[in-house]
Amino acid sequence: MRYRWDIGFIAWLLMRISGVLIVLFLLMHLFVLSHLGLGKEAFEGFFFVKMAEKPLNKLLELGLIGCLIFHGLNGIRICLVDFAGGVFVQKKLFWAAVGVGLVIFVVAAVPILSHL
Amino acid sequence: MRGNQGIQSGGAIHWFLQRVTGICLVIVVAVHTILAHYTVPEGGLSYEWVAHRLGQPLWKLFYIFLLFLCVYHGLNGIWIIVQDYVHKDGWRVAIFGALIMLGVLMLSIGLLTIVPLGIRG
Repeated sequence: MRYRWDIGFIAWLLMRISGVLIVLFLLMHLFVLSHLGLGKEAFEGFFFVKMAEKPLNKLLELGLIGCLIFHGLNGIRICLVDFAGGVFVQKKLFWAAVGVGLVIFVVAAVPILSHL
Repeated sequence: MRGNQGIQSGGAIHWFLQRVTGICLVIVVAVHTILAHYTVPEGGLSYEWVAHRLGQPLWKLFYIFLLFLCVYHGLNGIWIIVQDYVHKDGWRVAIFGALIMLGVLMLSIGLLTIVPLGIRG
């Protein structure tokens, strides 16, 4: 079997990759925030909570936000394709999602990078 | 392809629910992300800041809703991917069981954190 590298395939592939990455983040997020239940000292002293303000984590945060924005906007594209006749303009919808996504990404990235 | 006739995802309902939960998540995750990551006070993440919000009943409900949505949507997504690459029934059953247990674990950790927070002081 061969894959055809057209827009629909790239969108499908990126949807899977971003989805898996978001699930991995979610596992970590739930584990870290479960330390809230142990009280103030345990939570604020926890290694990963202290990591949150480090520059490396800010870069990872940009990656996360990128994944969330793409996954969400492409998800809207999928719903339009499946439920609203968007199948005939699915490639245009992909570029619309990318365009809107880039704008949101820049707006979201500025406050993160300004706190580096 | 014989393995594909074995354990299935449960059919169209999960296909539909993946879209319904997805649309809900776009809204709920946007609110959560803007709130939790762009309104962090100077000095970084603090216990009081999180506990105060989670102590309010409507935010508690909001986060329980978010927890159920993302655990279902995320693990259902993984299951959809698994079915594309894993064709042997035995492996499918094992992975499905593992995903169910992971889901129960995630919901338990989440609920045990969210529900009491900000109430018992």
